[in-house]
Amino acid sequence: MQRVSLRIDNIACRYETANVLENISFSATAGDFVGVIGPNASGKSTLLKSISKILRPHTGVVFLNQRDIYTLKSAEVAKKLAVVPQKSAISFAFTALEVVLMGRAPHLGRFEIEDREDLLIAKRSMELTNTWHLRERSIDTLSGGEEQRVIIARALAQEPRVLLLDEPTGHLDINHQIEILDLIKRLNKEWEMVVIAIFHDLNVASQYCDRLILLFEGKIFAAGTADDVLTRENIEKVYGIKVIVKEDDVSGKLLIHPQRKNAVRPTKGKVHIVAGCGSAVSLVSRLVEEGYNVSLGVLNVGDSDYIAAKALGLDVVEEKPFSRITQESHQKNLEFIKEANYVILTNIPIGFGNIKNLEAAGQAQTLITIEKESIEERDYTKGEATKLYRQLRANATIVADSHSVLERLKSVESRARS
Amino acid sequence: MYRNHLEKIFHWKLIIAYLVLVLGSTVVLATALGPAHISPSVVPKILFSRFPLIHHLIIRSWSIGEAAIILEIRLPRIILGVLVGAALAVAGTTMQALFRNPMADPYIIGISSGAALGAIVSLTFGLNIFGLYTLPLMAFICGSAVIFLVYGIASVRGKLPVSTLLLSGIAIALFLSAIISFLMYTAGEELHGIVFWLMGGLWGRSWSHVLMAFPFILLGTAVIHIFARDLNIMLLGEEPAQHLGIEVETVKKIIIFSTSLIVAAAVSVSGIIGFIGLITPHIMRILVGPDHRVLLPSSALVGGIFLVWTDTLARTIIAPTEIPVGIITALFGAPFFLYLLRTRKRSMF
Amino acid sequence: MKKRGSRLRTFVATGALVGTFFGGLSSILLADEFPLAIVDGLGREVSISKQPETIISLAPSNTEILFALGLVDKLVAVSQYCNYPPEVQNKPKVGGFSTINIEKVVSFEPDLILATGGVQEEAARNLKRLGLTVISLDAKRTGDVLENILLVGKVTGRVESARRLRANLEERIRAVTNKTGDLPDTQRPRVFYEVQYDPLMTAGPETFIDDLIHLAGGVNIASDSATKFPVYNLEILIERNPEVIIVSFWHGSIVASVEGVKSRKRWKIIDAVENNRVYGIHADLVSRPGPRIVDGLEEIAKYIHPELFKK
Repeated sequence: MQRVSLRIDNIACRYETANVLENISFSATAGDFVGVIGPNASGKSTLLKSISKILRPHTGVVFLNQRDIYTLKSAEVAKKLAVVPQKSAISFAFTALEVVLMGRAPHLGRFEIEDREDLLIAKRSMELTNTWHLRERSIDTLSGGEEQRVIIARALAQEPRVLLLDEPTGHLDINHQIEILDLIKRLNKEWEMVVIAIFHDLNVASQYCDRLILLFEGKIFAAGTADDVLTRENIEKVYGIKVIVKEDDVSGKLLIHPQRKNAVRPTKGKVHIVAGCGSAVSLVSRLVEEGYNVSLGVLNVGDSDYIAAKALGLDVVEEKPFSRITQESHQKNLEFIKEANYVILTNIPIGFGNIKNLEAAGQAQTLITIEKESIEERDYTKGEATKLYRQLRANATIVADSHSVLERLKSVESRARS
Repeated sequence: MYRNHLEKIFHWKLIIAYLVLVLGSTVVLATALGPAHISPSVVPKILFSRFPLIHHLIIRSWSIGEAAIILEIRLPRIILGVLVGAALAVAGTTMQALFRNPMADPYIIGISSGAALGAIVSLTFGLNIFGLYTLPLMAFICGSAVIFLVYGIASVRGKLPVSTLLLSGIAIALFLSAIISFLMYTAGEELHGIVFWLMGGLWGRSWSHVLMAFPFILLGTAVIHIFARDLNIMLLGEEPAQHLGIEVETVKKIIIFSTSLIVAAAVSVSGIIGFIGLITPHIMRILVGPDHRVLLPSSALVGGIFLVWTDTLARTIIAPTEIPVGIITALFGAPFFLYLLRTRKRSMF
Repeated sequence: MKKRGSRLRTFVATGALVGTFFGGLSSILLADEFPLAIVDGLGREVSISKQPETIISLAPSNTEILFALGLVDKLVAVSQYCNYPPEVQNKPKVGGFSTINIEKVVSFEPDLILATGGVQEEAARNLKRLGLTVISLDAKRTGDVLENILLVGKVTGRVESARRLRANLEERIRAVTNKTGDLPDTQRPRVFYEVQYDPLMTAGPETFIDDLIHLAGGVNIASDSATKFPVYNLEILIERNPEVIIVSFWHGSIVASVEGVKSRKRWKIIDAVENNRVYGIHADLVSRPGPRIVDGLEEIAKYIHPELFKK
């Protein structure tokens, strides 16, 4: 069978006199999973409408298998292209199976009734979306998620070569979300479909899509792979927020972390944390929530603690990735330590790259150190770190974990008050 | 599972066949009923005497008056009842589907007001150009004119938004009602006739009325049945229906014009009979389900059966006086509908 | 067992006698002089202080009674439906049956207002409250009309004219009932009176028309109906097969209506149509409780019993 192809050739759409989409061109072939992302009112739904023959573009052409879809009959298009809308408001008593069978309508003649084959196709679609057990239930008695899965089954019953979805997992529980998206991804490859889906969640889009189209104010702002499109600059320009973009440890796909403004104003003292390698992640957010003015240093850019701190908008004394701590950053670190009411040293491994942090910690007035493992086990400096550590340990409060740190701080506070 | 589906289709056919039988018996039984004292045994003989092949076998044992009553007075009235009842029920079903609104009835887009105006103008000014058929003709023409007017107002760049259609229909209906009220207020002795026409009824209808209404009702109903599956799908919403290959705008126009045709024809020969168009689809939806491929024909048949029975009551209950049939349809239909609602827990729509 | 015809005759005669007695009695008691007090058709006491010079009539029947008593000149305004005699159509109008313009009536400052019962009751009450003299007349049968004529005569100071008129009318009535009163049912033709065609409406019991048909020697086939003006079932019409059909018309010609009836396909088997006994009559003559109702009676009698009443 010929591989399906979809080509959008410089289309522009408008409602009344306002241009909603301009200069949109892209193409997709069998097996492509294209995600359409962008802020509200950027034209995502309009794009889907123009591809699905609902809203005719006033310029440009949409080619389905090299044929202009606006010259084809709707039934012709429906045999190849199916749409799953964001939500349905079906308020009548058709059974779920009857609704799915409506997906076979494009393939039936005007006077034909659904036959055995149509029923088998409907059954298969419903089994794929895990809705077959709902087949005799009236659609208006189903939950939002169940209904959505039935609608997806209907779209699959059309046996489409192109599947368009508008926020396909909106009402679904997390287990169904994953189930459906995994299913669509699988069918995308197995059935060699073109899938074009609108996503509001950038991370989900990044997880599933081969390519992304970022729309902004009706135009394509960026298009390509996730790496090309999901950059800090793009997201800041289009969405207006600052983010951190990093690779997800589990899937290897890009993950977006928005930088949140501190919800809690710092009302308590300054706390400086000497940390690294993700040892301070939970401590940092809890201290911020408690109202402490938190800073960290010295951390390498890209370090997990660095990312967490930046996400919370905290001050961080930073060093280039994978570099030793320089004198410059060491000095800055000392300044922070001097200013701080409390300094916390977390359970970090020490190497020649960050031994200066240990020195800096030693300069603290009030030092709390978290000891989960003994220093010997964490020493990668052939004993130097141990020596330094033993020194500063003498003047420090030693706790076993982050939780105890907070307790300690609280009791110090109350003592200070009394 | 396929057997289930096949069974369902088979059930549909059974239901339709059953209803056709009931309709047939209704027609024969109703013809035997009436205030004139004609013995029921004579009635089938009279009826069959008109059939081309059998009529030799029947010995004439009735008077000319009896034959006239059965064949010229009762039978055309009953046949007209079948046609009008079916037309109103089908129209109500399509309007409810088109507007996705359980409160819709055949008169919702103003056709009845237009037809009423035509009839009342004809009565008020004593128009007589086509003799006795001037009034139905005027009613039909004005009723149909309204749909063109409403369509013209509601149509936007080739598309027909359903909400605008509804609102324009209501607005025009209100406007025409005002004119009608004024005509009624200033009417002299014609007022009686106007009031009776508005209440709706089948008194005095003849074969000419049947011939007038039959082609339009048949044509409109046939066309609507052709689009039964499309109506199912349009219930999903206009966009989803378009996505499933239905040419929504074209189908809307065809449905609206067909429905207007049958409503205008029905109203022009029977006045404004209420209730049947609104309630029959609901009753049938509870009994046979929402699939229009069975809902439409069964509503049509039940609408016809219902109107014939209520009309029989209307013409016999305080004979020789006649009661407007709209009163009877509401009196009997409403409690039955409420009963159905309570015993079946399925949703209304 | 007395026949129905003669019983009716006795009733009319008795009614006339009783009426004359009371009429005479009241004139003896109260003389032709004003002020006087009477009880009107709705049972209300009304006092008339002086002979009225300006009169307003709110119904065509009242206008005709006034005309018959020679009081047209004193009539300053009439209802919009008053059309007999033709000259009253030039008089100022004060409204329809139920839509009387109170202000306009008051502006004439009439000495006397003649109203009817039913829908005009409220207007009559309002006018009385404004200090005007209102007499409401009601009539269900022909006999009541004669009473009303006497009453109007009394309150307008035309007692003699009224008495003469009534006597004359009674005589004409008797001229009919003398011939028809004794007729057995077998000699009374079945009559159908058509008020209108679409829907088919006729006059039932307790209507003037019913009364007149009986007086004229016929049988109204619809006199067993449940309502006064029933919508009539075509089957029953055919079954009961009237021998005479009388069609009423309001405007347009008799000829058109009669031809119209005869052209109805399904009516051709009715005796009246077959034997060409379809007649038309002006509705005003048979439904207005005024002196012309006797004209109506005479015309109907000729239609029902042409052999008894030559033209």
